[in-house]
Amino acid sequence: MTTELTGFMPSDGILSLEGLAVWTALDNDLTGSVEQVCAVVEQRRIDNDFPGYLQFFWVDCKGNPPPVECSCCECEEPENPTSF
Amino acid sequence: MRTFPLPLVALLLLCLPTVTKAAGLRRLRKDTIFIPDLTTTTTTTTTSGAAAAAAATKTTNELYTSVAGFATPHQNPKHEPQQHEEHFQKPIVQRRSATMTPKDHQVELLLDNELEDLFLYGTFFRQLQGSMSFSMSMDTGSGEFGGGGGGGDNGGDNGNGDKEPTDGDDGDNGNEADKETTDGEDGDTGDDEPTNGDNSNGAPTGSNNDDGSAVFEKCGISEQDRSSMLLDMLSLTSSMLALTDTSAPQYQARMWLEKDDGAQLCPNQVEEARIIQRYIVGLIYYAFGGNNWTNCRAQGAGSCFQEDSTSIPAIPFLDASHECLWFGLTCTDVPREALPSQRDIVSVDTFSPITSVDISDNALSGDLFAELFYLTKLQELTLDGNKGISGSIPEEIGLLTDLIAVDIDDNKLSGSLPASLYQLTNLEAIDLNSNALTGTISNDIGNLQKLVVVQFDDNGKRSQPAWTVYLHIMISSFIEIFSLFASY
Repeated sequence: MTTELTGFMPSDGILSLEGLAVWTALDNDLTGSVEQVCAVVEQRRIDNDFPGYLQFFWVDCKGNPPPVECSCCECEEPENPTSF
Repeated sequence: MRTFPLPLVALLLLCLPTVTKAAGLRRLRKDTIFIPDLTTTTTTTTTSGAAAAAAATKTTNELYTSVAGFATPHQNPKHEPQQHEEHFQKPIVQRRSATMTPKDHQVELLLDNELEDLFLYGTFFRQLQGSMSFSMSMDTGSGEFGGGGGGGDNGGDNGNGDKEPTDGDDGDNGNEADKETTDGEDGDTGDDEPTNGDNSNGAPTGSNNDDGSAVFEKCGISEQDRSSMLLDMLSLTSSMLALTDTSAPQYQARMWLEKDDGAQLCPNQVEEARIIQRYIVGLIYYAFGGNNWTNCRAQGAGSCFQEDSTSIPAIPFLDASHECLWFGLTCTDVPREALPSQRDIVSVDTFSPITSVDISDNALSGDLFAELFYLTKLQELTLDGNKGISGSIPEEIGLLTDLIAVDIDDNKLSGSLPASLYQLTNLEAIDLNSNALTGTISNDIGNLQKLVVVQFDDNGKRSQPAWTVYLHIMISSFIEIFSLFASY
């Protein structure tokens, strides 16, 4: 059984979630970049503003090119890289 | 299933003062998530039947919220608001007369508001067929028990027995075959009366109305009237087609409520919400293959100890007791671990809305049915690890405006995420890992400002167990602890 969520990572939506501590969406067919989110994560850690913010941020960001571009995520190799 | 182990999550929480400061976090469940306290205030409604009738003078929305605790028609994406406003302004307890003859019922069934609704719902022809069949069989049955005094065997011998919700006999013989069409796979549960074995719960015998129809003694109305009223109420959440299709779990739940349920609820004495809630939890059992559950089947087979309870077993589903005491269910103002000596004080006639359904790792199987989401006071819906819950997530999930946590990971859900999911602004945790969901995740997820945990991944494919994740958490936690002490 596979979870096959597709489309772009909802980075705008994620950015709206100021209390988000965990986002895991591995082994899907999601694509796009969440670098904007990473920038916020980094800034909030610098500011010591809710360091638990996205403490766990796991997306399919392994591969070349990665399905999801993310410099602050835990990455997993996509098992079925249908898009790449 | 990727999960965060409880001790580690707890440790992590302790180590994240800003997290706890921001949200007052606590652990909700063993496996996955930490969310803020379920401190949402809910109102217990104990409206009596008389009060319900009085409440009919209220506006429709007031009635829905104050009496039923169920969704307003405007919240119900499936139903046409205006029809149900009219429907609710005219309480069912008044719509059915206790003195109606079976013929009256037949005519009324055909002319009833529900059928008018069915036109609008676009399923008229199929449902009319079911309703007509139901009416005809009811008429046949009434004729028979009119002469037989209600104790006969007319339920199963007229060829229509499987469509006779109001056959008026003792309920056991006539409907036995019906029930076993779906329950019979588990030989020890075929009679569907695991906890009511004294047969004190069925339709009474030996008491007839003037017209010869059997009287349901507790309610003081005829069995037919009771049946008809129950059907009327249940049609607020389920289609008439499902309620009359003998193969449908909705029909089985309805038959249980009408014939076998030891609570013997009186639709003319308790409010609709009470009836509907009881029906829905019965439907949980029938729709999710209750006879095949691992734990706490209706007969009490399997352990009924809940994972957060150490000493007091829960009561199995379909028991005559209040459903708030059943395995995996929690209600407003009813302690989940009510002592056996306390259980009798929870009157089965009292309506207390269910706030939590938590039945994990129990081999539930079957489609996630829309009626479940008419438990509109739910704050927690946890069905993870059952591996067999299928179908799509109904749009009706949008009715659960109080929902704080939904955890249905490790099942067989398919289809896309319903748009109404993004309207649940109290949601703090979503765990839909390890399913077969398709489609996109909308940016509207940003509407859910209270979200703390979101899990959409499929870790069923991950051969690497979560030990690396746990290690990561451990290290992070120790760093946080060290930093905390260092700061002092």
